Amino acid sequence: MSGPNDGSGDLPDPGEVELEWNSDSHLRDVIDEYMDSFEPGPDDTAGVRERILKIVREDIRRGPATRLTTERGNPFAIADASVRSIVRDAVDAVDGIRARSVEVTPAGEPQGSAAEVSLTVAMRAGVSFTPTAEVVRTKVAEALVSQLGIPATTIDIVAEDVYVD
Amino acid sequence: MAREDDRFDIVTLVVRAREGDIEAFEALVDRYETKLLRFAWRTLGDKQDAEDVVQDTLVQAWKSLTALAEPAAFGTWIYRMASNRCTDVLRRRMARPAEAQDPADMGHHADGTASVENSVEARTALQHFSQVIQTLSSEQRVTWVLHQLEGLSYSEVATTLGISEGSVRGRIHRARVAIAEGMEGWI
Repeated sequence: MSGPNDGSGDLPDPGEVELEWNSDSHLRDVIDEYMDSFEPGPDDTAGVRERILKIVREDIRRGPATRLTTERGNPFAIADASVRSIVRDAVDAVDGIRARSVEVTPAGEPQGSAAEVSLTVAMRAGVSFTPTAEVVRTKVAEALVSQLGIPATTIDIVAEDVYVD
Repeated sequence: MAREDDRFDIVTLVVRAREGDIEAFEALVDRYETKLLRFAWRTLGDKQDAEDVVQDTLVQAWKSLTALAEPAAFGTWIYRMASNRCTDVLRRRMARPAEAQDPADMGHHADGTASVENSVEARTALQHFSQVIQTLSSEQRVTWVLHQLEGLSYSEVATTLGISEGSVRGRIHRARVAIAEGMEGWI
């Protein structure tokens, strides 16, 4: 991949350079000591982690919402992330299945009184798709009714990957 | 901190995180935060700057996850963002008057115990080495740290930085020459 302008011209053989560089044990010791000087411990990362997640949580609170309608026809909105979480938890509860992408689209008449669900999943090797997909559909439908009061009109499932425990 | 959630593979975590699953994103943070902080700290030699780079990188990753076409490439993608930020920090430093780095503040383990164990000569060589590292160009320094300290191959560094393998080889060679010359008489 090297080209005329990539700065690699007239360089010695990489193997020779590697050998010469690595044979200098004193320099190697200094480099090792330098590396050890910058080894983060758990306390070093805890503060950064909290600052990052605080920003992310704020971002989620400002995120888009799914507009739905109650049985009595009253509209309400719930964060997309929360709706997806309900579906993901239902999918993950099925043995051998892990939710990946989840899409919940308002449907029904009036609009939002039901939902169309599309999801992709990873399946454990050896799990039979058809009967397991039926279990997933049942669990997702139950979760949407029990937690949002909304029935699912369709639940499309695509198995896009296989995993091994 | 044994918080890392290893139930899910990287693709699952990325797909879920970009759809607003904060637990999946937390798992990504747990997997990469320490590695990124170590890389940035070694590259910049300053813990506060390194923490800022890691925070900026992971927050930006959260905001632009949908732009990542191939979720399996998350690791390379995030290292490239961190590398670019480190390069920016180094360039900004070079544009300002030189900041003297207090060698006693170089590492968080510099607690006095180590200095008793180390010979005066060794401490001096380390301090001098840290100054030599600062004379490398920002691109050489980032490239050299990725290869020499983080253990990435030439090919992996090239993919991470989005440059040719020949360019990587050239930068590392020049960095090594500069380090060897800078350390002459010290080792």
